[in-house]
Amino acid sequence: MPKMYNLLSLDIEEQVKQYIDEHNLQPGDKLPSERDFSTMLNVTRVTLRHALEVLISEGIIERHPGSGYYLCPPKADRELLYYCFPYKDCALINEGYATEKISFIPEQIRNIAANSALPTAYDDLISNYVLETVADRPIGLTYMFQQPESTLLFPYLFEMNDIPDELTITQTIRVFSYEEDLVEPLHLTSSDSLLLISNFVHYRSQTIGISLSLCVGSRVNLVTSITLPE
Amino acid sequence: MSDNATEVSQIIREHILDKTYAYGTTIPSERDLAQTLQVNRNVIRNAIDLLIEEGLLKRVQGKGTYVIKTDIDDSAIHFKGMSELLRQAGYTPNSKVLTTKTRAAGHKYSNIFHISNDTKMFQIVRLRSGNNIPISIENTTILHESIQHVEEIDFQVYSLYDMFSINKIHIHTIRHVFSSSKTYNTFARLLGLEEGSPIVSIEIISSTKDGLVAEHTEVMVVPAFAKYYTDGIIRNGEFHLSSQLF
Repeated sequence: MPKMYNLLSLDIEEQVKQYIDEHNLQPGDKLPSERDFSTMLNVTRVTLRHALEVLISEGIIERHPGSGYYLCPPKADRELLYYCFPYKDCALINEGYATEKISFIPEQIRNIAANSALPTAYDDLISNYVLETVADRPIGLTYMFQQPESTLLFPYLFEMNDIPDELTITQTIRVFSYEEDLVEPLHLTSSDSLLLISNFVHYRSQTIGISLSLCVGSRVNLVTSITLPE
Repeated sequence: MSDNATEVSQIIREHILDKTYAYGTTIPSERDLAQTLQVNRNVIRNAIDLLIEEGLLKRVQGKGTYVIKTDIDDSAIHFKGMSELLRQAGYTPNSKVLTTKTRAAGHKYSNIFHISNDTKMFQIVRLRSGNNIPISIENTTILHESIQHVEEIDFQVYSLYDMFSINKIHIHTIRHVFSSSKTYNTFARLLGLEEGSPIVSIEIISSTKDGLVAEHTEVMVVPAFAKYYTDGIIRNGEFHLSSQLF
């Protein structure tokens, strides 16, 4: 089969990651300069820079202008199954998950919640807005809305750590184009990207809650394992 | 469509079932069939169309008509219903091989597959599209020995999972890691996106029941097509991807 495309940058990414592992670099450690690194890997600086750019967008390294490239803290692992029930996600809690109440809500998020399938008017919903961090690093902003009547059955829906089987949750993940107003609360740089993770919680064919979460993709891995039927 | 076409399709079907036309090979050209069966080429074409609809044959431009019917049950696919979902949305899915190579596992894949650095691997990078609109790029690596004659297989015709089934590899667990990143250069161009555009990135590791890693795939998804890859439902405490519910 003919090789139709030169995908060299995939190889260079591999080699940079190998360098990081083999030199046992720790978060905050500096990578070699572009000049040294390109000589070491026997590629042009342009090719090297392309591979580094991808690794930056993946949240593996970061560039400090005028100084060089540094290794980032590891990405936080988060179970997709428990995305809207973080207190059920033991691994996440052990990584140092914490929340802090906020009042800021982006216009787009408010619109999604206001136009959602919840039968109650937006202003009467029980809402909770939090900034989520792992080891003091912001990983997302989460906006939770609950149907007031459902609090009789589930007083703190999104804080449960035991999820009843009767709940069905539909989940979507989308790339979220963000505005300037999210840069400060999430400490975003120009290479970060955001995902909008929406969870709709249903009980007996009624939607009782919605969790809309802006997740910093470059700092979080959303993990799920599926076992196939025999 | 004439009864002739139905008759001719029955003849071809029998040849497929008795393996005169074997799985993975092309059937004779329309011209040759027309001559052998002494019918008009239009009849042959209609008969083939019927068998394509049945899923026994697949026409590949410039190559011929392939037998794609297997008697192997193929339930193990990580995005089994992807083509189905896309078809429902009005897209005709297509997969184009960008590059293939035989390589050593090296640092990266020795860690993922738990094998030595010099193990022989097979890597294939494909562009998936629908109605010629780019959807995703999939970079897949497998153990070279896991599929016989892997270099000769036309992955534009056959799915990786057909090949696993034929080689008696049964996928049991699939681990997905979803995240976002950005796309540049060749990949951005292939995906029809601007330099540095955000994308959904997915890492997939498929393992057998014995816990042996069979496949590693990295997918870059164009944001507009994210729903086909990421939408899920949690029922009775279990996570299902929509693309697997078919």
